Amino acid sequence: MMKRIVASVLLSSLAGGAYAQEDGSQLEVQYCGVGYLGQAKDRDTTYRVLAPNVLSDKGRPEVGGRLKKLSQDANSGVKFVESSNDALSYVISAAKYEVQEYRNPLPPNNQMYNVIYTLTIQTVLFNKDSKEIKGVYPWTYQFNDAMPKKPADKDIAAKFKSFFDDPPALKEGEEPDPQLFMVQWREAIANFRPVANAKTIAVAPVRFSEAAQKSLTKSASKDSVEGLGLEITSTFETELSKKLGLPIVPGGGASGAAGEAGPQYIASIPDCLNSGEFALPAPSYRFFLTVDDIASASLIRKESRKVVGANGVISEEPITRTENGYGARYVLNVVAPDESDSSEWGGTRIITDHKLRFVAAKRFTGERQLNEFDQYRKLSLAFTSDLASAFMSRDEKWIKNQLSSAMGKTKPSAIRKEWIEIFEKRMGLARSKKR
Amino acid sequence: MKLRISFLAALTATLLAAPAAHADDAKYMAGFYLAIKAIQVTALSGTADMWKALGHAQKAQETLGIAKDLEKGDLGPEVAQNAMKVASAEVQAQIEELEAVGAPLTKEQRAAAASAYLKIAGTTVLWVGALAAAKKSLESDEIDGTTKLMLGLAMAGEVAEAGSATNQLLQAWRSYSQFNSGLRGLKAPSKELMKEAPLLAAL
Repeated sequence: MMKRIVASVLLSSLAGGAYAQEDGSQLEVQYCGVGYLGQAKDRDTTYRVLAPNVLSDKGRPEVGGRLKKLSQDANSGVKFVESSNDALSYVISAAKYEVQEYRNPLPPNNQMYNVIYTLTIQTVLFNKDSKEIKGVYPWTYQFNDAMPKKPADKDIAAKFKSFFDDPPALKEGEEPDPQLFMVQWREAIANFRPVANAKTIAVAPVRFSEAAQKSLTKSASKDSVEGLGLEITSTFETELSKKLGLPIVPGGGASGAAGEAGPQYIASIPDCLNSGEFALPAPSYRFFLTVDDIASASLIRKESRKVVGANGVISEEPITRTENGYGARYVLNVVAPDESDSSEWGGTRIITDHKLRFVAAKRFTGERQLNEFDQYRKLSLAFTSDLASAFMSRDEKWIKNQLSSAMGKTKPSAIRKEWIEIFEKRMGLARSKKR
Repeated sequence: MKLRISFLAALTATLLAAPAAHADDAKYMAGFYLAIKAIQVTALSGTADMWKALGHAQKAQETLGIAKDLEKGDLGPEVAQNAMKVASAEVQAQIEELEAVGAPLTKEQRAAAASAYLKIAGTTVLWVGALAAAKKSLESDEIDGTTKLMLGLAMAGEVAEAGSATNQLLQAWRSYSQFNSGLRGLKAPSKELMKEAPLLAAL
């Protein structure tokens, strides 16, 4: 049985180190180091960029040791003990990168490469004996890096490895670079506040309506749209877990078909176990999100702007300003799952068809062609983050701004009331203004 | 009628209003003038550094040239003030554009731009010093009420405008500097766009 876990903590600043617990109690677990999702035999293919160093037999204990030290410094609510059935491991569940070519918008307008690194780590609490998962808390780090030369595989692997380096020593008065992986990780782990017997949440795979699918496949392949669905799902899981402070049940938390085993969590945690198949709990709530429709629009304005030349002479020059708007309508349903319910939703809908819209714009000088699919991708990922924050802030103004015209005469206050009922009264989550 | 009282006009009026015998006033005014000039030189030099970090050598050279002319005394305070505000707005627009089109910076550019940011951010502290110098001048009994009012308005206006230009530039950089580790570059649509785009409004 997992030890009593603290209910709340008082955070101190990052620079100030560990924070105090209100009741002084700690989560006592055995530290199981760094692992990865999947079986050992998949390591070299699934985690190609981490296999040579971070996940190697030599690299893993080094990285694991650094993450352990950081956890102990940043979060006194978690205590690592020599031996316990209750264990904690940092399980890497994704290490991906994408290389995008682009033309430098500034002179000399040379060819450049933007490498987008994505690393997802799940903090996993489990029972070593029963192989039961107690909680999975995902966290994602993304980093963009520009370079004039296309990076080789070894450069990518070296960059991933460098994320786990200790931040450089700071001189007096210097702040750590907030973009560093270890700086962001420290902040995340400082905020890690697992609650005993917490409600668990799952996100069903995000779906696209026919209309949305049709629009998206104008600028991307069907496979890309499918991939986008998976990305939105995992981002929504991560954002919900982060903002609501609740563990997720990965894979949508779907129950197994009749006569089959339920969903399993397969991870390799070499420092405590070999490849392990863990039993997952049933989710307390399952979130469904559908991308119902998308639209874009463009506005071109002829303007003039002031420019300063040599000798401080100011002149006006005519320019074309473009504003591209991208929007989507999303349909939200939240279900309290019931295994005996064989209907479409598999339980009682506690949020039914809340239709929300999210619109964002890009403004730039001149006229440019932007990849629409990429803009809808960014829009949807940003929406999941905003939505998860809004569940906690329950801000009526936010709801009013995002309420879809398809909701007719529904008042934002009615939606807010429902959210209070669900998130505050049912889930026990106090309102938080933090976005 | 031009309501905004120019910086240079107010300074001239004040210096004329303060008799030479009142050495303290002249000293305070000179202090204020030097403080403003130091801020303008620093801000322009920081803006030049920012252009250089972004990779625009020509704009970097031009802006640095203005800073040097000002330092040598070849540029009047009002010309320098306007140049500083426009230069800040220009580099701010460029940063926002880089963010909008999704172009990140290289490691070296990030380090150079962060250093330029610190230089520009430092001017916000210098403005506080300039305001203190101005306040002492305004407390002098030897300057008449009308001149005090003119000078007060001018100082408040200049400081507010320069501060606003600097702050907007700093904000743009802060937003863009986070671009490397996250999904940024999305802004709220303008009312005009929503008005002219029924498809977006209908979502």
